[in-house]
Amino acid sequence: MAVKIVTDSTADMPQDLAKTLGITVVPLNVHFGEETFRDGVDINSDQFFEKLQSSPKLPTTSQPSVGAFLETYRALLDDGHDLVSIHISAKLSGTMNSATQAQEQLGVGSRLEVIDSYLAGLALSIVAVAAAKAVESGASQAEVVDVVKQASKNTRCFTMVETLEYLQRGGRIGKAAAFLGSLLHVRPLLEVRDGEIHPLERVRTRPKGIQRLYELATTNGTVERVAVAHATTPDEAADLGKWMQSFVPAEEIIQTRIGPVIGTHAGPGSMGIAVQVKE
Amino acid sequence: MVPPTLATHVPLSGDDFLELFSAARACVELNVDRINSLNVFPVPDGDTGTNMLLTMKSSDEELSKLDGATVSQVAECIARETLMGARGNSGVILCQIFQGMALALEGSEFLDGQGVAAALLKASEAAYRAVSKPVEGTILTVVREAALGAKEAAENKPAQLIQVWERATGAARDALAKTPDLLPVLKEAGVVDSGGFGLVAFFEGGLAYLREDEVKVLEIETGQLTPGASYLAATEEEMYGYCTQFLIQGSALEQDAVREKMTSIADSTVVVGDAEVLKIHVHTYDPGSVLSYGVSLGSLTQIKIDNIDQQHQEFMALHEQPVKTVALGVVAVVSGAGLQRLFRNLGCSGIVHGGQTMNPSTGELVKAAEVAPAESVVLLPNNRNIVGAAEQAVTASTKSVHVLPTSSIPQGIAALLAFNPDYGAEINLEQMNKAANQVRSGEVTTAVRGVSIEGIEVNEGQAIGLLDSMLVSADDTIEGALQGLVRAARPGSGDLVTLYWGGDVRGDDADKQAEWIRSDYPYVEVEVVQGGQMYYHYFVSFE
Repeated sequence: MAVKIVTDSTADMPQDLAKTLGITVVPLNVHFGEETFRDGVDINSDQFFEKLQSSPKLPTTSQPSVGAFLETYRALLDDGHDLVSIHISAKLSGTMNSATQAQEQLGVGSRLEVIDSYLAGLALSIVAVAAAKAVESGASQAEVVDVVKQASKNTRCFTMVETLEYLQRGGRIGKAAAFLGSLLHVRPLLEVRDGEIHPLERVRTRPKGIQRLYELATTNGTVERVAVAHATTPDEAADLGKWMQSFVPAEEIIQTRIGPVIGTHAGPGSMGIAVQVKE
Repeated sequence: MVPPTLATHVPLSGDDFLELFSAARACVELNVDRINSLNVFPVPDGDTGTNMLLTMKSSDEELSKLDGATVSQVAECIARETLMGARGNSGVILCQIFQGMALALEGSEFLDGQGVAAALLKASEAAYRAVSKPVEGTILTVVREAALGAKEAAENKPAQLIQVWERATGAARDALAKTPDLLPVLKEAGVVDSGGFGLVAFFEGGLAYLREDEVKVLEIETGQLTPGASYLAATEEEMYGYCTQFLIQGSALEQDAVREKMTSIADSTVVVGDAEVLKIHVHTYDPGSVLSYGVSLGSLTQIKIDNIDQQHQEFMALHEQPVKTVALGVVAVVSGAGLQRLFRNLGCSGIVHGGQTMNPSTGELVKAAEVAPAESVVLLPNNRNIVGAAEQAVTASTKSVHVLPTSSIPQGIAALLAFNPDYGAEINLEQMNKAANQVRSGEVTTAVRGVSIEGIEVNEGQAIGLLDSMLVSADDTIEGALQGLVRAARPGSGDLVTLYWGGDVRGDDADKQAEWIRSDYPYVEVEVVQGGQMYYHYFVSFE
């Protein structure tokens, strides 16, 4: 039986794409007070950002349970698949922890490979898609693992946020703390690198920020794969996607929406672009 | 030795009150080194205890002349003399505490428990009013909690003075213990607030007198001052210029107006006093402008100017902690307290005071580059007339210095925002240059002579608007010139206009102009920032 790809909901992968490529997505959880929602299952981006506006308490997030992984892995293993499970950086989420615990409990040896992408969000989508494409072209599990490691290394992920408040409250701010407490309204540009959030630069206006995202994405090597994501600004994401069409055919550009879990930490108005570049 | 009165059971006379004050002061004196050693906020210069003590001592001479005075007279004397003699931030707040007490005790012959509570409540109010931006976790918190403790105790009638004072002292100790939780800079340094500790010593000394004990070195858990490198780097932001203190003597002095003006041109502003005398304490790069303003209000006395950088360097040397050095840092030429704060806040490693009509010398630029905690430096002159001196600094410095020839404050800010400390000089200069050139710079200032350029007639004394150094508007009013400037710039949809106000402009003027821009250009974002620069009523960026 074929190799199957598993990832988690922080990839913010469009559901159609996941379905077409046979990728299984394990949801993280988002909590508004006592209420718990599975990311992308019980709550979608629209509902989430609306709730974020109206909720008096800021949401929090949690990794999938070990049980959620066990269930997913068992079902796929029982069908005879070998698995490659690719996840958000362990420095940003406990998801890897749950996945590896499930892996240990299952004790199926090399049939299940769990890999830390050192990335998050739409960049994780790119890696998962690269893996699924390799499966489509008949790669073995070991070959897929190589593809994933290579893609993780060659994928850059740039984000603009309206404010660092959400990253700070969620405890994910990392090195971007250097940009905190600005006396001027600025929009920080950030990069997820080596599994952590790094500050890049600051811009005053959104058009300038989107232009810089484009420049950052296109001046760091030959672009092979592209993903564009927005939280609440579809027109800006559409523009950015269009600009990228001179590098990658339109139908291959992953246009996606920042989901509830990433949205909890990035906040409304966030935009991101991820590119996989050739060696 | 038999105490003259049984202070615990009867109200205090003026003489008793004087003794209580002396005991309180003696306790501060006994603990002064410890108070000094805790001093990390607002400026870690290790003189809080000394300042508090000298503030209290300044009333010695006049107090010694009192004989058989009432409580009211003693309190009034302390208030009056310490207002003149207050030193440093904490001293000024302490003197304000005495002002409040004197106000509450006015006309009182004796002091009882209720009197103590009333005095402390007024003291707390006065202390909060003294500073432009009250910060919790300081002496302010301690005096407030002490006052609330006293108030509670005074409600149990009959309230004996000693019981009220005991409660106030206990509440002060409790509040002191909590200061690190309220003020992060204390937590990071691992200490309680020094001014707060000084005030606790004051209460403890008074309590010792009431209990007929000796004043002693206090056994209070204060923490050990071992500031980390990150803390010291953070304090660096606050460290600059000159601590400037003086008294203004005049008539009908408006405390609030003076405080507002001082806050706009300087940092760490404390303004206290009354209509006849105001005590001013500020931190500024430019004591001259602060003194000029003071002179315009009345006559100045007791002028004291200290170099904070030097005080701070001494403090740093004392604690022998190296400042974290970065590979590449930015040094900018900026004037105006607000703008200097902004540049530091955005990550500048160093600031050189200067701008139009105040061009720094090459030597000053070299020095700033040399002392900046960075291996190499990008220099932002932010004024066309300073580019030359900056370029000379490149060859004169032992460090690798790069000049990005920014010609305005808006360009400097745009360049600084594009700076990425993780990257090398080459890529940064390219990005910063690009960012600087994407912003248009406007200025509104006052014409020093009449002129006619490109069909625009300017009379001397009129306000004029310049866009990228081109004259675009002239008007009798600052608003008129600003609006002409904005019209000439024609901001488009999605653009951002930032007004950095200074010169003769006040915050609410700037807010009004921002409203005008928003209504005439509904798709433009507008931000208002206090610049505090001289001569220029507005710097304006269009981006």
